[in-house]
Amino acid sequence: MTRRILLIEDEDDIREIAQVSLESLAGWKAVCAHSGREGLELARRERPDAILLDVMMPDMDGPATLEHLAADPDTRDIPVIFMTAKVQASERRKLSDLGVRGLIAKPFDPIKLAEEISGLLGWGPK
Amino acid sequence: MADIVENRKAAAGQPAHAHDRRFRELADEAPSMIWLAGPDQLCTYYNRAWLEFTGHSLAEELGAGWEVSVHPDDLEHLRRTYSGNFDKREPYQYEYRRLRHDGEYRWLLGSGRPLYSPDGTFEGFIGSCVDITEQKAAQQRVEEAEEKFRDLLENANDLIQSVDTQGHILYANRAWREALGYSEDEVPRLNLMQIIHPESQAHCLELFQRVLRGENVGKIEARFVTRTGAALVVEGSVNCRMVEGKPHSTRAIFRDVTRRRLNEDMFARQTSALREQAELLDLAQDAIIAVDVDDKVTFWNRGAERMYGWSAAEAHGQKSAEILQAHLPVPQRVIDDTVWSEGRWIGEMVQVKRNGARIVVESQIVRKCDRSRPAGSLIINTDVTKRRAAEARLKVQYQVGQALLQATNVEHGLRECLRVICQTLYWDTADAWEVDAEAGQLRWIGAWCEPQLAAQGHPGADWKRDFSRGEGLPGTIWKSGIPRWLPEVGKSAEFLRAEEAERLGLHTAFSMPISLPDRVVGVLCFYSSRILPPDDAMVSTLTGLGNQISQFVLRKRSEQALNRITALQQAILDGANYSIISTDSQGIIRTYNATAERWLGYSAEEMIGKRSPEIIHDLREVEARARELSKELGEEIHPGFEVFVARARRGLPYEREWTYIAKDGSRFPVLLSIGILRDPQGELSGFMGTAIDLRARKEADERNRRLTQILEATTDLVSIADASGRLIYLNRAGREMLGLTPDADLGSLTLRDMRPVTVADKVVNQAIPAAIQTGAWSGESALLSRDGREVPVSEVLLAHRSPEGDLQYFSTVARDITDRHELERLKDEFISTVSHELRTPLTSIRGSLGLLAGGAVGQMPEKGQRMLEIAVANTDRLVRLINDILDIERMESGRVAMVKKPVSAGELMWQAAEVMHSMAEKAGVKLEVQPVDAMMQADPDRILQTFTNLISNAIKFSPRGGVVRFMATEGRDNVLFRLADQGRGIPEDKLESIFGRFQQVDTSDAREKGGTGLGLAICRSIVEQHGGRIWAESKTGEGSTFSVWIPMAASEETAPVPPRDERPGVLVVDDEVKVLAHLRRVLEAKGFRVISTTEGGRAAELARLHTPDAILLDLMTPSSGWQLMMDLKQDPVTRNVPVVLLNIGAGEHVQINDDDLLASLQEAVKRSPQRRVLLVEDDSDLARVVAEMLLQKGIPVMHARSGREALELYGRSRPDLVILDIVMPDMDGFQVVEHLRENHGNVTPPLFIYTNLELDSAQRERLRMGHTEFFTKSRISLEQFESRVLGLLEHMIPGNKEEAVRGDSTHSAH
Repeated sequence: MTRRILLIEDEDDIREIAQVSLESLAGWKAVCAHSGREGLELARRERPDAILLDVMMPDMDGPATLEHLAADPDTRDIPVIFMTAKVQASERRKLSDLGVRGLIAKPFDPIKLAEEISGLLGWGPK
Repeated sequence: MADIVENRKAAAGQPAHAHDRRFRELADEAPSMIWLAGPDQLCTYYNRAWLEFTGHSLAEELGAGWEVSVHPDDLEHLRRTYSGNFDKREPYQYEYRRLRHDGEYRWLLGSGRPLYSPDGTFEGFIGSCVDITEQKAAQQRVEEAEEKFRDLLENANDLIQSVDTQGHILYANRAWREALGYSEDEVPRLNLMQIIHPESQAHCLELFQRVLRGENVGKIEARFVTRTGAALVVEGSVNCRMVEGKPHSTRAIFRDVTRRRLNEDMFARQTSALREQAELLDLAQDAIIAVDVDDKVTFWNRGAERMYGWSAAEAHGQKSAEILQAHLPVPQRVIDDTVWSEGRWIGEMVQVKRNGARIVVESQIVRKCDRSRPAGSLIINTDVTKRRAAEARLKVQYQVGQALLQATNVEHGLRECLRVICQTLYWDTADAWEVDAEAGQLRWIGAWCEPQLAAQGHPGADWKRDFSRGEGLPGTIWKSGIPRWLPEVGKSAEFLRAEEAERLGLHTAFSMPISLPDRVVGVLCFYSSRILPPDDAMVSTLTGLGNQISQFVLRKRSEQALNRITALQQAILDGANYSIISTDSQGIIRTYNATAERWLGYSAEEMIGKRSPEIIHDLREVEARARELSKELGEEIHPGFEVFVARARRGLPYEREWTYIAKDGSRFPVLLSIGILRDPQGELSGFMGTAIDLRARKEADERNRRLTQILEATTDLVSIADASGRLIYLNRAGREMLGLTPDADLGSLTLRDMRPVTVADKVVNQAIPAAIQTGAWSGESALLSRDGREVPVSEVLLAHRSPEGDLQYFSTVARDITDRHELERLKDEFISTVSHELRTPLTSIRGSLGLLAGGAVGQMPEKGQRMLEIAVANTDRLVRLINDILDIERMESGRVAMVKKPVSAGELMWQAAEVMHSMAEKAGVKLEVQPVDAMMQADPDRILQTFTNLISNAIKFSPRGGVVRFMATEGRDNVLFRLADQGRGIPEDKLESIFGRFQQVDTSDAREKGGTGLGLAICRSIVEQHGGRIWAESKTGEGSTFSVWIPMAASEETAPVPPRDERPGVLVVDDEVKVLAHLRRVLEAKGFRVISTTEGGRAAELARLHTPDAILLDLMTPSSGWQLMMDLKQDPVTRNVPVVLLNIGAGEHVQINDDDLLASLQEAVKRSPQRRVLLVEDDSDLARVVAEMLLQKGIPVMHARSGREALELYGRSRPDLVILDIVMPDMDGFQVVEHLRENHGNVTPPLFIYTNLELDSAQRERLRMGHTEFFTKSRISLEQFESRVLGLLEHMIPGNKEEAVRGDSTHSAH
């Protein structure tokens, strides 16, 4: 089954790598947004299976975006995974407590990205 | 012998040339050794016997060759004898030892004599030697035997003498010499007739002749006369020693029987005199009584009849003891024994006449013998009653006078009087009453009684009663004022206590008043168990005393009344901590209290009535004050006593500081105020000076000044407020924070006022009550600056109580944390940025490389694939590096708080092992875990991180097939984890540095093993934040062991105190474990020895115990920093230890300027006078004295009771001075010095040898070790010794110890 993932990430390079990883290696469909605002719109429109959300973004950051997603009945059931460069356990705990399904640390291993997402969301092997 | 003579003759017979052939032939045949010497003293010839003896050739012996084989001890003397006699041309003989060819020294009798040619020319000497070794040995044996025999004679108790036929005394033994009083040297000059008593000489001479003729004279008796002329009767035997049939000498052995004979003679003379003078006896005044062996009277002269009132007829047949009722001074048995053994007894006793009166007699009892069998005694008694009565009166008066003089009060005085009177005048008991005029009663005061009576419970409750006027015997006496004698109280109605008297067996009573001319003040009553007729002498003696006693009672009573006032005054005078000295108007000291005695060392006796206070003043000071006063008062005041009182005389108050000079010359400041004394008429009668010792005050001032200096230097606000919250002290930093000028008045400022409104309520409602309740409050608050600015502070507020628990004052320490908030924000931002900014590009790089390497965009050629993998691996490493750097940065900046909770140590070990399991498996390394079942307070994530890091390292460095063992042991209050691998090990010089950042054993490790070089630094940081320690041990090639020591209660620093060594010690006090850990590292790296604690409460004790060279203290340590400072400054041991205050910006945010800190610490350590003395002394009393003395000066002393203990203490504590006694039980001072020299070489501290022994120069040399001084206990006072110790320690400059140790020159002092 083809998964559809919404990638919300301000860094073009990282977005592209993630997209390549998910599409080329896992055969999933990746929808990309380069900001929180765009991400909200795409989420509503595309109804992805999951959202991979960067934490540190200008303007509207990860937690803010998450808040909006949770506030919208159309999007609040979509599982969200944070991507973060934060390494401190306390920070990670703080992020986890915001109501996401998991954290993926940056830098991530593109070979295993889909596998990691599946693991966090409890998806069986495709 | 004959040969020698022959040879000599032969030699002497040689006319011109002695050594011609014939002579040599003869000489060579001679058995004795012969030599010839020319006029130049050189030997020209030795005969065969000589050469055979020495085993030398003639050529070897010629000239002075003979000297070679002479015994070294004899050589010098022999040479002198030889050449001396040679020069004088005199023959000589000399015994000496010479080495025989077989190596044995033989005694030779050598002789030499000059040789002349017929024409009289001196040709040299000829001499011979004879071996006398055997003779000498035999002679010695004889001498020894004689010596032994002489010893026996000498030590005999009998008198032994040997006399030649002319009467010269040849020998007399010690007992003889002692008995006759001659010294050993004098004996040989004595003649027998000199020591024989003139009366005995004829008889003795005759005996002497008979003995010489060989007759046996049997036992003889002789009278000798001693050197001092005393007669000596001896008894013994004499015999004659015959030599070759002729009498040679007499030998006698005697025993001294003088005493025995004298007794016998005396008695014989007495009895014969008695017989002759029987008639005269009756005319004698003395009583002369003879008794038989049963003490029955057989003779009773007229004197006895007159003395006792019994007629001879009545006395005959009675036992003398019964008829005389003697009151013996010693038991009868003693008298009998003395009479029998010595012939007579003389003594004094009390006897009773027929009429019951007592008489005192001097009694002489002589043994009567009838043909040496006891036949009774002769008693001669002289009546000495009157003499004794007069004596007794005098004695009793004197003794009563003494008793009254020494009596502390009336009761005590009267009891003593009674005792003295009873014992002197033979009363059995007595009691005393005093008139209590107000109550109209005779009040019973006390009694004295014989021990036998006391044993019967006397005086009982019935006896000790009061009497009213006219009641009973005492009452009657009170009323009448006249003494009464009741021979038998039982028969007298007025004696109310007759029943009790009967029980006690008391019969006679004598009662008398103690009266003044106008009234009776008391009554005394004496009792006897005998029925005594009135005794006028006794009555007059006793009534005479009454006068004396009444004066005493009157005086004492009025004194007591006075004392009620003066005791109070005295208490004030003596108890006061003022010296109080009063003078008369002329300046002569009249009172001088105990405090003055103590302070000044002059006794009241030395001062009162003799001196003026000028003696305790500094003359120059007095002169200066005199000038001052002259100016002030406008008239000249001469330097002298007037200076002290000039103002007082003029009614002006006078109080000022003076210097007192004590008797020993020591000076101290006092505050002296002078007042005027006036007599009852209001006339000036003197002056009184009250002085307060300002030493303590000055010391306290000094202490406060130092304390204040420190407080003024700190950048924290420090303030003190009274119990109502009003500020009484605010330090410089505080004034600055509050915007106050340095001279601003604090009076109006309170703890509340200095706050912004927002905080004021918090302070009043929370902080102050909390401080009052628990002693301390700490937290964040704020201050309000004069200019309206709010200063956020972290604050500690303490409430101080008196020992009784009353609230006395508050103190607060506040630290500006404005910067901290800003800094925190900046740092947060920075870390976030770094984290984000670095990771973002890395994520891209890592991602693209990963995709490429993973074949997501197509397969790579093999080489390209390899390159990609390298790039991926290094990107990963870069990421880890960034992670670790951020990690350690946050951790060491204190921004990461450890989240501590109780965790199972074993559980954490298993978790770590589990995490690392796959890595171990991949590396082919076996991971063994031996967990411990213990709970500890720790942050589990962080400890896990530490464990995994260590295990990962261990695996990395283990060879395939190796074993990594992870073990733990539980201590009393800690857990020790150990991780041992079998890797290549760590070189010793790297064991410590590997815990630094980017410090790997081998720089290639980072690349090969994929580490970041930060793992161990992170581990150390984590462990230290748990209050623990981490260290590595290793032997290169045998693997390494990493140990992690974590206290179970991680909140406090319980790190062990490092043993003392030459490094300067710093005690670090801070409640923040991480600050401590940081400081420990920094300071240890700079060569300090660090003792640390988080508990201010323990710090004072640690400081006292370990006497650091400096103390590093964070005043913000809650509830204790400030208190600790004061504690430290009050303890003599720690008072002088410099305190460096930590100014670390803000509590959680460690911002220590290490360079500044080190600089001030090094400065402080230089200043530190903290010197330790090791005292090695087995006399613990003396040791205590020395230790106390030095401790008073703030010098801690370690005391070793034995040499062994000394070495142990020395090794542990590195003293700055060793004081060493020489004589000790296990190991003496010499051995101690040897040990120290061997084990510690040149770097030993100065050594003071402090001993009873007089050391010679060789011994001193053995004891010398670096700077060494010698003191003999008997020659140096303790004070002098102390000043030497202090002098030496003062001159030791810290950091320059080495120089001080080398010293300039060793010198010795007595």
